[in-house]
Amino acid sequence: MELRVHDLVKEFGSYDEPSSRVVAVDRVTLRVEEGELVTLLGPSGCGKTTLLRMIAGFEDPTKGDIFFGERRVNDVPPNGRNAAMVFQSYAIFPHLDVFENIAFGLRLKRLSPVDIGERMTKVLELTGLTGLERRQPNQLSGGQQQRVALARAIIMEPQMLLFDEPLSNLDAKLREQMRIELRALQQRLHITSVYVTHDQSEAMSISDRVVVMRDGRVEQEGTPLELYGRPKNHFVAEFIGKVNFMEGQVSAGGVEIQDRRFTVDLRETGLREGDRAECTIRPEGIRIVEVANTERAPFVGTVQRATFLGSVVEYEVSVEGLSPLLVQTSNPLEGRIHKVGSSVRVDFPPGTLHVLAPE
Amino acid sequence: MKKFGTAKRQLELLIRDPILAFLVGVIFLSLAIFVVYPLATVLAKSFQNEQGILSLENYVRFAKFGYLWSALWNSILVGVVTGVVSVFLGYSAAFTIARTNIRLKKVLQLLYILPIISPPFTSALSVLMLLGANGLITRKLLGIPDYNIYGFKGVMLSQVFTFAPVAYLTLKGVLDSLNPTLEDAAMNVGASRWQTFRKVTFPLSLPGIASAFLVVFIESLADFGNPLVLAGSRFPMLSTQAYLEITGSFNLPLGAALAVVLMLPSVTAFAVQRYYLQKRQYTTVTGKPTSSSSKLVSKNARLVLTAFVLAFAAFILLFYGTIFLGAFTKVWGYNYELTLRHFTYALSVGGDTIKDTLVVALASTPLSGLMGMLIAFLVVRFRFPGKGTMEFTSILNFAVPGTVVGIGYILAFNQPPLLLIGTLTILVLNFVFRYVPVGIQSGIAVLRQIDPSIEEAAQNLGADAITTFRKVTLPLIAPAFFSGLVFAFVRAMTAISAAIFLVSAQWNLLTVQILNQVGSGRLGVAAAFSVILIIIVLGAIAVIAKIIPGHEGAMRTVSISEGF
Repeated sequence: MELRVHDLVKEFGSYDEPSSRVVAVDRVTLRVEEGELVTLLGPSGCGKTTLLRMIAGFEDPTKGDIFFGERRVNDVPPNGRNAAMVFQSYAIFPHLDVFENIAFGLRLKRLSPVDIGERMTKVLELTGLTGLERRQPNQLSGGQQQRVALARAIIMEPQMLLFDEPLSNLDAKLREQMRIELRALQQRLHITSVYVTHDQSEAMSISDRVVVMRDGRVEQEGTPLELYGRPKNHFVAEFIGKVNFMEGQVSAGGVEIQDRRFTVDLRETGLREGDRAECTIRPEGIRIVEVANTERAPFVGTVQRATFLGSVVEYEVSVEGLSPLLVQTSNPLEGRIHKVGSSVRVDFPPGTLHVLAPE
Repeated sequence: MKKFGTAKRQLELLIRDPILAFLVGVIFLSLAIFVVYPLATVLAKSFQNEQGILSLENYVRFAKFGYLWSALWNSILVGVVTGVVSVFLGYSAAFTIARTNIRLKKVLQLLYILPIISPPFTSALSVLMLLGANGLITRKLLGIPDYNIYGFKGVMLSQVFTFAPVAYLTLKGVLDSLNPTLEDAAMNVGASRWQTFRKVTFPLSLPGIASAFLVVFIESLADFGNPLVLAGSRFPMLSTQAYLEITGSFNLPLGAALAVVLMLPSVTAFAVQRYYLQKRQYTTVTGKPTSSSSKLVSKNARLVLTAFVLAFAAFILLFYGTIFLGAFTKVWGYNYELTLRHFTYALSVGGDTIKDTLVVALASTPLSGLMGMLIAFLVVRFRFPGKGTMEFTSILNFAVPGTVVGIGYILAFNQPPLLLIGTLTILVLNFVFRYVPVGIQSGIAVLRQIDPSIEEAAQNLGADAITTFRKVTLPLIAPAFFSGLVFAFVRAMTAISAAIFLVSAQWNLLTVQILNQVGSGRLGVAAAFSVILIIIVLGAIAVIAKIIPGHEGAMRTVSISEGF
């Protein structure tokens, strides 16, 4: 089932006091295709959860429309939408055991015990809960509670799955594991899904497409790769991954940074020769080599900090005229780690520089 | 216009869930009929003369009549003194129980709440038996013939006994919610014990103390049984005076005017307590268990406090012992031989009354419990036009003295289509609407602790509002629900101030019966009835406490209910 959100607005606060009104979601238009997983990503207070709750029916839009397929659902109460939600707090019914929690929705539909049993077996297996049916919620670990919440949603065979920061209460390791499981399950069941998170790495790893939001508005939407490689503005570039910003000037066929010329495709930005340009480069895009090496490189810098992180080494390199650059080199076991204080040559290989469109 | 817009939107939402809309409508209607209408009738009546013509006559009479003025003054004086003394006793006891590790805490706590679950005027009976003209202490021990206990001292003593436990429970709650770590922190930075108490513990409990004072003040003003037994004719008090105007002189308008005068200080105090003080209470709830083994109390202080709480407990034991003995004593004051004849007499003349009382209590208790939870649920979880009004109206009856409510009911329901005077219905309705606020308050408290997403999850899985309430919310609030039931039951069994206007030959209540026996001088029979009543109430609490998960249920009940 396809989801469309058209020009959606949500204002909080009372109509009587205009000063108390807050626009939580500001004219958002969005389309999630059948079987697609789209993530709403943004800092807290950006309106992503409010948007999700409007899709679920827990909040009523101030303006705009929500369509499930061809059906406008604005006036359909949450219990009639068949869009199952996985809550941040899991919202497990504390007075029911695992089985009854998962079967809750089916019992409301008055499914026969045989049907319930059948679906239950399948779902328990899918979510790895087999054998825990009679546990009470307080006897479950965080990860297990998460699975119960998920099982309770997918057993409904919903038209749509809604996730409200479902992994934020888990520890880092479990979170990464559940991320992979969630994604695998969603693809296997091919359910249209909307996923809310403030964790950009989670968004990148789980989504078909990501919608970056700020102050109730959509800043940019695209595949994780597009967002990472071609962020539209400063906010998106900074919010997703680590990034270096540099001031440059547009010249023929590229930009000049500190009088060094780099070839960059500027067609999308609409910049013209002589304009100032905000240039970005990801830490892993920067190449550094020892000065002794004969290879030519545009800049020379000094290593200020070197942090060994296992799979990568992160450096802070100061270059005259630029803000300190964050640099990552991979596979440190093979190469050498540059010492703090040593001089290095710094290069931005072709294709690594990205110029932001002026705002 | 914009305000209208909000209401209109909310109304649209309401219509989308027809069951919800229906419930909201029914509740509004019943609150209007059984809460607002009777009070409005009292107000209207007070501005009529005896011929039913609009006039200020009653208030003019009130202003001119020194006797009525002194009734107001006496009621307020007793309220203030009772409030101060009760809060002092209550705070000392609560502090000792909350901050020391004295033994027998459980027993002491049970003793302290005993007066709360007894009819509010059992103490008046004890006061008469101990200190009256033929009192055990005054006549037998001290040899004073015909000691006059009536008036200020009698009422005050009896009320302190009745309401100090209320102060105790409120303040115990306040002290329990103050994290002892704060005291540890103060001592850690060098404060002595006394400094810690004076600069940390006491200031933090001050809003609670003020609140407890107002609660006792309100209850004292509204109290009816104690003044009726102990005030005497030379010490008029408002609640009894209003009653006498209506049942004695049949002057309904003047009675109504007195009720309005009585209502003013009560409602003012209630508003201050609820809307001002309660927001200023410092609660430090962290969710982590805090140990109460504070080092705040030194050995000597502990000794003093222990002596104090034991004396308090002894005082209560003495009062109840007196009633108990009185019930088995031939003629109190003259002949202390043991006998069962008061019980046989009580059962022969009052068997029906006991049955009536149980019927009324058992019928009103579940109704008020269910309604309380329902209103709490609607108020906490939904948005609809007039929500604030609903909450306010539903607690109104609790703020208003019972005497006023009783007068309102007889004025409002004495003609068709709502001719209810003398029926079982009017008694049940009175109790339902009078004690529903307690259910609402405890329901609201519990509901606010339940993560709303649990209910959203149910809706998300296909449940409508009613199903969500039935399958998810109700099981979760069951403990609070049963606590509300205990309270409603206890109050229905022991209340008098409103009920005394509503009883009839067909439907009489135990409390009224006890008061009648006291009035006709049969103290032994009154004591026997009191013992029966207390046993029924204790039995019921024991039964419900068994059902409630967590053995402190019954205890929590009363503290929830008295805390507001």
